[in-house]
Amino acid sequence: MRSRADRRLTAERALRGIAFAAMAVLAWRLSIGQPSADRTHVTSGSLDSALVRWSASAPKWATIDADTIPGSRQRDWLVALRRTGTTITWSASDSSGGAVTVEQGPLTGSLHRVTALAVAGHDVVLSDDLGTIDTARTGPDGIASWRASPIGQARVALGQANAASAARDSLIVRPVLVIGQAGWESRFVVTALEEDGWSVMARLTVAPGALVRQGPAVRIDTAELSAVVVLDSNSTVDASELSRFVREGGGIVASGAGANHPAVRALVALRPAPFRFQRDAAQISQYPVSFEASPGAIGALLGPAPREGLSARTFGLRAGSVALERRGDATVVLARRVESGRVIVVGYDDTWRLRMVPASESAPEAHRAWWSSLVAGAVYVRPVPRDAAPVDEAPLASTISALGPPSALGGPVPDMPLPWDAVLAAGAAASLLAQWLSRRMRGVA
Amino acid sequence: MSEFVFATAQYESGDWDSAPLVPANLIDSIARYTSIPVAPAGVVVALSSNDVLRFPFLFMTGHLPVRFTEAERASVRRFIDRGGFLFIDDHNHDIDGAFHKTVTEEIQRSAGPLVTVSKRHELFSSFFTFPDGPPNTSHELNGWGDNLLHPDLKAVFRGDRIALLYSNKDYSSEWSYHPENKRFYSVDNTRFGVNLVVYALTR
Repeated sequence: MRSRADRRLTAERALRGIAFAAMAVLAWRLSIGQPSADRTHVTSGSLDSALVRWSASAPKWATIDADTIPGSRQRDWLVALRRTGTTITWSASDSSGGAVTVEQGPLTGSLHRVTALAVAGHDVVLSDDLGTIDTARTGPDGIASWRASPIGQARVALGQANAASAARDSLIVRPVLVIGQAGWESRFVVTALEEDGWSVMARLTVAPGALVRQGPAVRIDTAELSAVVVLDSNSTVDASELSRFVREGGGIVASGAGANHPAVRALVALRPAPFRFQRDAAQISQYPVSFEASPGAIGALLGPAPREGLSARTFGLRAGSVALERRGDATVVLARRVESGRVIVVGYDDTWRLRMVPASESAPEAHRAWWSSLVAGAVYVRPVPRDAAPVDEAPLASTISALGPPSALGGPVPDMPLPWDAVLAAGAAASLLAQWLSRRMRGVA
Repeated sequence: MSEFVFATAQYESGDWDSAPLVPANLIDSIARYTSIPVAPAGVVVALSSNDVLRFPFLFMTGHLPVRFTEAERASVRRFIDRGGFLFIDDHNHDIDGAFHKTVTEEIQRSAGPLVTVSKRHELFSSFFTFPDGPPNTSHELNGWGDNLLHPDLKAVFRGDRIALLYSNKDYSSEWSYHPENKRFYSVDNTRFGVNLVVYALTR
């Protein structure tokens, strides 16, 4: 059996061993080289100066206690530091986030739509490079919006974050030309498109050699027009002109009798829909038109699906065409891409009745939206990149994307990890002290 | 494409059918001068019915006091809001007449304020050109009615478009004759009616 003195001696040796081991590890850690500042902790106010300092001497670990969400420049800097080996952690006391966007107005000179997302019921201030524009309170959904034309950046203060946005790439939408016979169809198509914000030119035949024009005379060219709406089959427009327009990227919407315009038929390569009743060869040769008539359902104009009440032409699809609307098994609205452009063929006759006849008070709006969507599906737009100011539309989301999730959101900053060098030094010192005390205490009862 | 149908409004008060030959005469002129497909006969629609929405060009005339029913007022409002064109002509050509006083009140009540149409408005050049504005009628020139030439037309606008046109020049009398009698005129006096129809169909 070992005596008490033997056990003390063993313990003293163990303590000495621990002390030497700790000092050895500490010496090794120091020998492999440590950053001058091993870990550091800054707040938003000192972040800029810290970033300059860290660029010369990067810490091994940096924690940012964010009073305000880091801006885009600070984020980029932190990401660069992280890529050089610095561990970045961050926390924010406000977890509400927020964002702002600026959407370009659809027409030249029209106001932009600025939308901010923040905490519900908070006042947000919209400003631009020239100063404050307006203050608004967010609704229950946290959204505030303005119609404005900010100069440079649109900035919104959102709690801890300052979001900034700007109108960016723009699309040039040129006018739409409506070609047809003077009549209710052409008149209401023009009205619907104008009411929905399109710039519309019209070339309507009133009498042989007599046209009613709206807008100046233009060439059918993508430099002048975005789309052409063809509403009759015998308008004087040159088929080759229409064909070239589409191949260069322009859009054509042919509706009603316009679907039978030679240029449209050639572009879309229509073939007859399956005959519902037998026709003899003479009739087929007499009516080489590529459509089948489909009468509208009686009373449907007053119902929930008023287009069912219109008489229509239905089409057979060729490869490359897409059916946009069907009536039963037959296609009544089809689209086809022709090189760079698009052609949409609408089989409905007298679509103006969709605006006038239905009982619903929203009939004009529905007619407008439907025609606008048809033209929008074919229209040629030219993107125009604009030099936009740097934006930071959603600072909190961008910071999370760049630096990872915060160690704490809306709460206290967590403790820093253990300082291992200090722990090792303290451990070595404590071991040596314990060993020394043990030796000094030998023989004491 | 549907044909243009000339529709005459039948309202409950007054004498809506005081100019029965106007539709045929204007239909003749439209067919004569334009290539617009036009129905060979006009229709009569009750102003209070939803049928007016099937005929976006509506003609209304009369001599007698006019009082619209609530249904007629609502129908007029809906008709022009949806894009219809209502042409109302005072068959009396008399600024102090009962029709003028009552119908202008009804127009303002159901459609909105009447404003003077500029003599340079495209209505006067939409097909034939009338550089001096609305053509005078023989009834005005002969001193009938209030013995005045009414130089302007009035209108209710929706946006920049005329939705309701009001005349007290008595085109109803001027145009109410059998179309075959046009051959006796050196200048067809229904040409302005063609302008009205072309304007309604193109603007």
